[in-house]
Amino acid sequence: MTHHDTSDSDIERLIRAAGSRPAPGADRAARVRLAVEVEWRAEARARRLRRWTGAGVAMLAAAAALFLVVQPRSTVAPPSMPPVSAPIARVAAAQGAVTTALTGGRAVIAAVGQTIAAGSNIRTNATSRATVALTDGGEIRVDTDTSATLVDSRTVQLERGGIYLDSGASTPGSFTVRTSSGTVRDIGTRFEVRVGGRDLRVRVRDGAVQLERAGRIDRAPTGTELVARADGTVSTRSVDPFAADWAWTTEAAPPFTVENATLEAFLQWAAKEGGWTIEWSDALRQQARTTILHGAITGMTPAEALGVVLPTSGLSPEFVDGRLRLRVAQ
Amino acid sequence: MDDKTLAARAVRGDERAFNELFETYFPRLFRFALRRVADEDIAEDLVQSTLIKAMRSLSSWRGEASLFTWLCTICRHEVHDHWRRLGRHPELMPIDDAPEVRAALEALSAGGDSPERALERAEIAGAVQLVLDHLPGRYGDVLEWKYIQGLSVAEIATRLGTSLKAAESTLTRARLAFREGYSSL
Repeated sequence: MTHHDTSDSDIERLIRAAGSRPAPGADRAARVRLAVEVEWRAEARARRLRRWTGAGVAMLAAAAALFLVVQPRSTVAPPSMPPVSAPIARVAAAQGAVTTALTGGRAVIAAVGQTIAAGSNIRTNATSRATVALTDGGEIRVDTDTSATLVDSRTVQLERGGIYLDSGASTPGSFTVRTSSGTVRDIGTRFEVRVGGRDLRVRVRDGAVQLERAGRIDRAPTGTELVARADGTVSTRSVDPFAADWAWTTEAAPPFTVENATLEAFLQWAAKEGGWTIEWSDALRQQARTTILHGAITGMTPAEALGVVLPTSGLSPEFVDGRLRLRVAQ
Repeated sequence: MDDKTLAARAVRGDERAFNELFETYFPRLFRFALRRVADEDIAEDLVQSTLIKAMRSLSSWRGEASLFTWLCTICRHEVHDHWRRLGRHPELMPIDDAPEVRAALEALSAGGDSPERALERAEIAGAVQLVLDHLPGRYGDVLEWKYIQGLSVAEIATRLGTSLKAAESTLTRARLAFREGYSSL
């Protein structure tokens, strides 16, 4: 057989010999599909609106106004949204007035423990913050003056303000934060996404994220801040995981309950919230594992709490370049 | 659904058309990108950017070239930008850009089990798969279903959502397109 003279049976033999073409994984296809579908729907909606405008819909101003309010909500629902009855998260902390509302529904004041369905919008005001624990693992902390919608258990639409995601033990690459200025995907991490005006800022505390914007992809590793501006430029700078910039995320979180907790658990909480790496001897670690704490640290920052708790355990902290060194107090 | 109808319906917001467009072209574009960057994660990112751009300008596609050719053109730009951002050139020569393909095809009829022969055969397999990817519409899928998965014409008709006669006709056209595509390599 030559490749210039291929009969039907030759074709069959050739294709069989070559075998199946490699297929991208279903999770890969689902991720890409979601992103592309969002764009496709947005384009379709924009075209519809342009068409209506061009057709002189303005003559029916009152009716059109109503239609334009209703139409985008009813036809451009976020893709892949599970049934609204399925809870995908619960409110783990709410300080001040935090509201939740399903698309098109009435907003209600959020209470700790309240379940949240897919499609719910979470809103904070100038003085309120919240933490939402996802049923699939991980959590979202919501800063002041923020509006974010949980499209599904792995997708957040950030309309305004800032959120901090901790993907916890969930599958790397599983969180997506969409904003009007770009899409941020995590690669197993803790990170903050903030929209202000037409700028989008991403800060990575640990792990790495990917910012997708107008066809451009920028990756940000641990300790990086990316700012994507409306003119298309993206600037980068360093941000320490233990910097004061992260303080709001602890304020938004549920308080740590010291009473009856082990010293080890407390230290791990403080180190995680403070962005420090603990340096301690095996003996100290063993001691911390068996030391039971009593009392409360309500309202304290992690550093303040360490300053209060450690002396009662005979330890002293030392902070050096993001490392928390523990020593026996002299 | 032919490419023009598919694109026109997708532009109008027809969800079925979008689904068909994605399912038809995402795997093919993914393989197209993967051959050029050799990293599945990067290929995924590039194909996502490609399809997002395509969605934005789908209404401007006039059908002079096939839809897949048009998508490949966008994807090539994405791949080029990727390498430019990294400040280096690709280490891989995509098989569909390589002049050695013809020589590799000549080796198909040669016998022997040496590693060199095995490599040649792998290259040829790649070329066959490449041709399948570049066939119009779902011809590549239809040929795979028939000859690799062993589906009957009736089962292919069910998958395509067409009549038995239409499926037979598609299979005939797919074989013809493959023969022409393969011979032109």
